[in-house]
Amino acid sequence: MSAVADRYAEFQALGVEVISVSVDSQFVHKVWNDQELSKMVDGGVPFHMASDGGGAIGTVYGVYSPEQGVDFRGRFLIDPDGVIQAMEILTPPVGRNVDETLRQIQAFQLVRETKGAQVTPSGWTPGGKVLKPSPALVGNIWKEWNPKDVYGKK
Amino acid sequence: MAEQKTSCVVPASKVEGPAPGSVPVAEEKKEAVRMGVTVGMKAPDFTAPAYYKGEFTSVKL
Repeated sequence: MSAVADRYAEFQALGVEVISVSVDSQFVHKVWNDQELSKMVDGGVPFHMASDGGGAIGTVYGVYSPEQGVDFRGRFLIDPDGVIQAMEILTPPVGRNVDETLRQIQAFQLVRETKGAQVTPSGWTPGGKVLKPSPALVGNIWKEWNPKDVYGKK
Repeated sequence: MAEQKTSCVVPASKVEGPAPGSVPVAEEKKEAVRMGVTVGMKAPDFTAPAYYKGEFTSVKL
């Protein structure tokens, strides 16, 4: 979460708001912010750190473990209409990637801005090749896009 | 996001809509109940106590 906090300005520049959620109380959040997170992020966490004691939120989002009493690492991208466009849930040992989160936000925003006239292939980054869905494209994507153009030859 | 009165009582989060597990048994038999969300679904709204920039407050989705 400190990685998201550290790059909060980039989320804001994209018009995105962030809410973190965990089963810890708001009091624990304060201590965590003051004693640890603020040592990694200037000024501390700049967004709401929500408390989900009992896991009611985590349950409806499918990340709460009643056995462990925690909300697993989950990340949900919710569009301006309140619709979930992306979700990622990881077990605790592996952290998420903020670059990938920001990339996905930019991709979803492009698709939204073009009303689906442009879609983003694997590995797309801003300025990269987009696809324009049409009957003519079906079966012919290979003429427009190649994974090696994005990922290179390995 | 109203500021909250600080006390030793830990406020609870609240999910809008039907409570988890509140689906009648008869409906459960008709269709397997899947907890959690998926892409394309409306994100469940919630209100939760929160810590925000030095204050105890609440946040609503």
